[in-house]
Amino acid sequence: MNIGSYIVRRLLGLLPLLLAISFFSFVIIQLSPSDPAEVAIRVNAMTPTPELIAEVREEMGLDKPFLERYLTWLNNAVHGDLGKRYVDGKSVAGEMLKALPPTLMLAATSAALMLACSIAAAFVGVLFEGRWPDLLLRGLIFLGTSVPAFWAGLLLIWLFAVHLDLLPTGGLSGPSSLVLPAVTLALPYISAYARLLRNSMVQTKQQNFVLYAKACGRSRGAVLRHIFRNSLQSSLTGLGMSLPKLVAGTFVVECIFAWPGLGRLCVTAIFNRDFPVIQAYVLLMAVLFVLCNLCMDICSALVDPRLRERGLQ
Amino acid sequence: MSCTETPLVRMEHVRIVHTDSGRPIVNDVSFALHRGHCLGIVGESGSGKTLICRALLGLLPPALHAEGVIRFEETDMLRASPEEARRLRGTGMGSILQQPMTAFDPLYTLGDQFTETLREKLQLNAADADALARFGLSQVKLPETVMKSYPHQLSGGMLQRCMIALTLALRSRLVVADEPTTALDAANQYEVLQRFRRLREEHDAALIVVSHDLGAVQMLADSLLVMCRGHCVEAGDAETVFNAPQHPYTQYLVGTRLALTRGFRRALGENHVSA
Repeated sequence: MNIGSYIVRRLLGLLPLLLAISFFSFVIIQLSPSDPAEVAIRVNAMTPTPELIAEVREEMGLDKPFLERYLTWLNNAVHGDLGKRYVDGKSVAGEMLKALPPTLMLAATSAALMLACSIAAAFVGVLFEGRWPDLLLRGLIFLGTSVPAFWAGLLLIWLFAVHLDLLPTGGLSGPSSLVLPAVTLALPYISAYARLLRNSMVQTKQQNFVLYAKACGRSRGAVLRHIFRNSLQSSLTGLGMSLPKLVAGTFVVECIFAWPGLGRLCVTAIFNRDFPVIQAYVLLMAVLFVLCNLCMDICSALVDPRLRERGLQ
Repeated sequence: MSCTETPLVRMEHVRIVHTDSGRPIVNDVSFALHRGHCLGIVGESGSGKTLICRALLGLLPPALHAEGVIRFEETDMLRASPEEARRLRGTGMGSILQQPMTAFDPLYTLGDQFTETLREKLQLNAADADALARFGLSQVKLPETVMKSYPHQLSGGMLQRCMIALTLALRSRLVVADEPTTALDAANQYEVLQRFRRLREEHDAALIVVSHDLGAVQMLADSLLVMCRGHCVEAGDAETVFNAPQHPYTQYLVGTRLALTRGFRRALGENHVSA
């Protein structure tokens, strides 16, 4: 089956979904109990008199009908204009673009770390199933899952930055500053995926085709390769959810390591009730989730021919 | 058996034991199998037929181990290193598994799996492996399109024949077929049994057929091993065992088979009944 037509079909199916997402991220903000005009006045340290509110409402276009406001916003958003911040009137899109590279850098490093470590750990677990390396790894995985990120981060700072003085405690200053936040961020994911992949591979090992490959005298490496590819499904589905979370949910880690990223931008905006920023963030994250899921579905389809056929039916 | 040459496979007082509890699962199995001959192993499910084959292949489940003597050609299988045993599997001892539908990796085309195995086992280049795979398929009367098919696109009978094609391409000196006909319909069963016959006659391969289907075994086997609850209750020349079963269990097996086929043949309008 042709993978190209599969991708085109999935992309077309995405359009209505994206439209619905944009609508809901707009509606959710509109449903919030505070009046945007009032908020806009307050954050600029002015007193919201009824006249002033009416004036600002007109200026912000809040007096227009709901649907018209949505369409204007959507049109602007499609053209890359996500409105202006209430706090300082700067362009939301501009501020987000500034915060995005550090976040993406951190997320990408964590993702690479997570993939490398969890795959390696899963292989060790399968090769030494039930023996001490496997048991040791299972203990570490248990530890990694149960330790909260902020605590692990603080411990790492204490050990590597304060005690050993090898790495900076925080901030964005060259590659070495990336190490601690990336490790902290990746730790729970490494545990989760190492366990998921290991268990999946241990199950696949019991399958009939593995026995047949061994009965044909295939080498250990070849048999492992077949086991690995057949065990990827659940991890790929999980990655579709985890990768956008790495971008979205870095707030705690960004705070601990004073990292100038997207998570901090959004949480600051929430405290200020800076609606355009929150709206843009919600939209960005939703789109990211949808796209990552699509990517993982495509990866799954590339791995498994049966999924390609089902996707085309 | 009247042959004087050393047998291809020899088992002497083989026991298969549960390692932790020491509980024996298969007791005292002995047989010798020569080139070009066929041994049938029959018995109810759970009687240890499959375990005997897996002990020979060196692929017992981790919780079990075998004792006694198992020799394949010159190799002592119970003392051979895992690497030695692995090298013998495939080219020395080919296998036909019980469930053809799950015997191939669902994510690769059969062509990929054939060529991959042939390249590794016979040290061939890609083109030669491809040609050999196609030759194997033609031997079992499968079209070349099978090379580009995924396992889920083929029927159980076709996949069964794919496994036979692979043993043909590998030129396995011994073929171990575990329940080769149970997953197949009658027409496919007959076809597969014909293939096995030709495998013996044309390639001089030895054959071990494990089955609870006496009909299939009777069509192929020269000698017979009857298993009941982990014990070998009867062994010997196939014709003798079929015509004059000594042990009550064998008598029961042969008897029920006669009763079954009698009903079957009556339904077909035949009067003649033979064992």
